[in-house]
Amino acid sequence: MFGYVKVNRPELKIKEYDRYQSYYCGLCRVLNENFGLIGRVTLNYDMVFLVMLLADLYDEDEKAEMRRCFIKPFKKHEERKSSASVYSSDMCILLTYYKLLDDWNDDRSLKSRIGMLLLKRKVKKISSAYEEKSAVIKDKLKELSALEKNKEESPDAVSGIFGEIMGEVFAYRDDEFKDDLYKTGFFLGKFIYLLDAYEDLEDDTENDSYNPLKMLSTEADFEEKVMRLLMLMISECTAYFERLPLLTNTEILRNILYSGVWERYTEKKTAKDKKKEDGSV
Amino acid sequence: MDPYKVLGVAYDASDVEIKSKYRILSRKYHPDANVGNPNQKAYEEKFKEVQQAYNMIMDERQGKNVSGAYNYRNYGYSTYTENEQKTESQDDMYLRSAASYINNGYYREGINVLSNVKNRDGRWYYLSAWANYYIGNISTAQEHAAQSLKFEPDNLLYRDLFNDIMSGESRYQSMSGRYGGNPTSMDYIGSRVLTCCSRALLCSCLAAPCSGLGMPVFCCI
Repeated sequence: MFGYVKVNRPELKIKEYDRYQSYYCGLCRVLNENFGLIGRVTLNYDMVFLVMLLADLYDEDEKAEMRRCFIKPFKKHEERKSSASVYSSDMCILLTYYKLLDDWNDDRSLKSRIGMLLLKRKVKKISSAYEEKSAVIKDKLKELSALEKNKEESPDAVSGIFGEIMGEVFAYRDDEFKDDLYKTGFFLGKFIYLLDAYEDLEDDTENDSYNPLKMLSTEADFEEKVMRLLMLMISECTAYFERLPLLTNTEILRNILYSGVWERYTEKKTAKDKKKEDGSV
Repeated sequence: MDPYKVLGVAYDASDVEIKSKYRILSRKYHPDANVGNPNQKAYEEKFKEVQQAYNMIMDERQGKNVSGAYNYRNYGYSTYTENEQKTESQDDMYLRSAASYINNGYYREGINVLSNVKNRDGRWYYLSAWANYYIGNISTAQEHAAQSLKFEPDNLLYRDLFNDIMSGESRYQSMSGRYGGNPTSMDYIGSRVLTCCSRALLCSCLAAPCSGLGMPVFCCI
């Protein structure tokens, strides 16, 4: 469910890409400082997007340092940190933990159990700071699980639950930005959930697992309909995104929302088309 | 109020200018920044005014009704006369009740009431589209708005709602081209055009261990 909110790298200026990287590396550094090696594993592009969004809006105490790390030991690189990265790193942990909890409840996979145990103490550490948010994430994931078990057919309903989770994560503070941040996260969440469903559809159909797009897939012009659905979600997301008074990271964030988010869709679609071509040859 | 005067910007100021000014004023009048300041009360009022002005300008520039209310909020269910009420069917009563909930912002309650209606016509689809739109079920809203127009293609209210729901996409498309486009754009190539080796030349791999010498270790992972 993570790793969809990517940049369209060729379209970024080199200085923009460097700036993006500095937020990525900064988030990794904060995860390492607060949660160790395990923390780093929870790093994902979606939360880098969030850091850049919040860092711009709140423009507080951002520091950039040149550092080395074991991934890039020979060359120093820039790492950007701020209170937004601390918040986003906490969210990385929370989201990963509750997702693993959910996976464990669904299919008792050993991997999830191990992951959960590794994160448990770290989650406890931050849960008290985010009581309300943790409760929402936990409850909404449970609700999502229930809808999935009952084979909910409306893509809107089921993606909306995930949307509520992302909305909650995006709404950093209870202030004048809360509403627009929530809605940006909400519709981005719906986009991500449905894109994930699109990617998994073939496998889910084979394994007879739940997929919210199964009903839609029986209709003619399914590909067109899915594209329309995804377009609707991301358009609504950007409508609220554009209301936020961003100044420093706007171009990079726009690259992501207006183009980069489609990368995994394109990969999947291209693979499907190729399969069809090969099959018909 | 004149929102442009409140923010102190020209009527044709760019979005960047407006956002910039808003940030400056917001910071100046923010309650947290003025604790203990003798002008605290006045600044709090000014803060709210600045918020309002910014939201008004954003609404206007996004094509929403500046008064903050969409036209269809005043949909004529309130104009039912005594006579009409006497010959009202069960379905009409439900529709009127749903409209009342939805008009007052109780969207889920409205949708619950709507689920009781047996014969679903343009009015049903219109109300359902409106309520679903406001709870974020925009896919359902779009379908239902389209359906309402099938029943009454000349209904301006239905048309307005449908256009509102669809307007996001045209705005998205016009911006999308500037950032590399999307799969519906003519010349969209996405970012995977780079092969593994050419990516290595640009290096700075994000998710892969890269030695920083321009020789990626596990670049393709």
